[in-house]
Amino acid sequence: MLILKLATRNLFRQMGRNALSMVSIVMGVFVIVAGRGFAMGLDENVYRAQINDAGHTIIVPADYPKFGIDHPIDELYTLSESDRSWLDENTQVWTERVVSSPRLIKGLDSSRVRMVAYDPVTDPVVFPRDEWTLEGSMPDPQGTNGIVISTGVADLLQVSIGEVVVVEVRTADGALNAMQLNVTGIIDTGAMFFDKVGVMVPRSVADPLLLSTGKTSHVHARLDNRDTAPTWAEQASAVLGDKVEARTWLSTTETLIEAGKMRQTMFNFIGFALLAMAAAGIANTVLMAAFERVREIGTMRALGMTRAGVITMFAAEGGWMGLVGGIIGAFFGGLLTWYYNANGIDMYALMGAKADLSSDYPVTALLYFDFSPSFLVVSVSVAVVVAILASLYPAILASQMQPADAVRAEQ
Amino acid sequence: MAICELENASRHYGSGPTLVKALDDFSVTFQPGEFTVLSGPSGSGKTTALNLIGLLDNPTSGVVKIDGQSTAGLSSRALTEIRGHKIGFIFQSFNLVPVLSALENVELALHLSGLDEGVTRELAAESLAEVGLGDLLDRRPNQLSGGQQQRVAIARALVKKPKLLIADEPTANLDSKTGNQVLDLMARLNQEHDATFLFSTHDPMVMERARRVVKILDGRLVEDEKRGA
Repeated sequence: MLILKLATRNLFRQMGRNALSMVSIVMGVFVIVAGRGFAMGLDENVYRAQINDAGHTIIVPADYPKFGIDHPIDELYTLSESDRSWLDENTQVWTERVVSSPRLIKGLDSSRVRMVAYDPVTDPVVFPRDEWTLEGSMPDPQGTNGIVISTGVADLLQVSIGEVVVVEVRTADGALNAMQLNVTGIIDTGAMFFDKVGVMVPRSVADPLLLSTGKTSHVHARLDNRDTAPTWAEQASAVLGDKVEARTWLSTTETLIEAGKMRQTMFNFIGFALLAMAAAGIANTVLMAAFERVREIGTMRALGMTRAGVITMFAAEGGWMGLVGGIIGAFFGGLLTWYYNANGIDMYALMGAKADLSSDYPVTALLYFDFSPSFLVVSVSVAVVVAILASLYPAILASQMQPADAVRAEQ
Repeated sequence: MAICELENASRHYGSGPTLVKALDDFSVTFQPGEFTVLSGPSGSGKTTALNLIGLLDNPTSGVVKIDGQSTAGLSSRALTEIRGHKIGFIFQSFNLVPVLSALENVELALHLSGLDEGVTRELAAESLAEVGLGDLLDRRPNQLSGGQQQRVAIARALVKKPKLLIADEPTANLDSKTGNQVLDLMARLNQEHDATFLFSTHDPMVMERARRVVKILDGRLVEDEKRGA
């Protein structure tokens, strides 16, 4: 204990120099903790966005585009009774949608949109709408022809609730068709791409327009356990045949997740590069301390301290620097990840204006960092180990000093 | 049994034309309870002899025995253990650890000799009280005078009850009054502890008090004068 006490007090002898060495550790641990929180949060954000946007699994026509606004309407499929029974038995809930890419016209302005034709009964069960912000109301399936538009479309075409828009479509048969619809609501779902280009209409309105009655382009399902989705997809492919393709929240996002891993690797690299710099700084600091305290080392060797004791003392000094720097870095990194874990970070602000977002990445507007207390412990431990390893070389040099020379060294 | 013996001990540095014989074929024996001075001009080999006796250095040839045990061929750890248990050191510059209090400095010696922390505090406090510093236990070295620092160093050397106490120019950094007080203290402790005190010094004040004076010149023993008590 006395050796540890001595090592602790020695830290305060060159406070400025030691503090500078610790700054690198603080930064390294901060980057590792915050970077991991961001990268893991982004992964989870992608998963969540994908699940909110498409459910745990999705059945689409074979070779259907994964992203973008092109939704071929000529490849719709029809579920047989046995398909429906299989889906009833093997999912928690499921719903059918017809997704198309019509032109939405208001006056002289128009824009291509993603139109989701939904089943008003089963759709809200698969896609809970408690996180949506809805101004106005969803269209009444029994009432007049209604449409809900996203905030991005409303901004682009300057459409307000109660106004009339025209939807111009190509039907499943390839003919042109159009219909006037009343805007009953404006929604913000949190899914960035949909919120830019999406509109929703009930199947009762869309099917006569698209000539899609009884057909579907997307079957979305939620499972009891999202991790069983890959197995489920294999079974679905076997049951439903090769005209359709079963995708999962994992397969749809794998490209993004791979990118996320690269991001995590980058953060780790930066963090470990900073820790390597910190290690060099600590090695230098401990080496300087050893040369400044030659006589002290000699005295302790004369009093009975073994070489291992000298190594332990200097390694403990390095370890303390790693511990203190690691705790400070983990504290601030943890504080940041905890804050954004609780409140989320605005992805619009992070990625630029909503209008500039042109890709159909499954990302929600609020990114929640992943906060892991156990990782804080791991990162502090890594800092301590790095600092101790960095101290070993100067500590070994100090232990090899000849006591006879060291006790009489000039200080 | 002799507490320390040097048998034909030599310590040479370099080789060929640059060979330096810091100590050459040096033999001497120290008995328990002696109060002995190693004297000689600068460069005569006093410090080299003390280094060998204190097991801080190894002889090029010859044998060093401590308490009847030959130290030839012993590992660094074994030598350290002997130093920790049987030899105490007092240095010219006191060599206290500046970040530790007087009490902790003395405790450190006990700690390094393997004693449990439970008993070190009490023994260290007793030792400091013995050298007249019982009320300055918590002072750091920079809060003590030179004489007080040297007393702490004496307490640190004596606390583990060594058989041999080596003092390298212990009064060199003290004024004569303080030096005298420190010598009085060491003489008293020599009587009370029955430890062998071995000094290296130029100081006539120390020479006067010595009961034996071993004179060294050019690394060789030139005179071994024993005086009455």
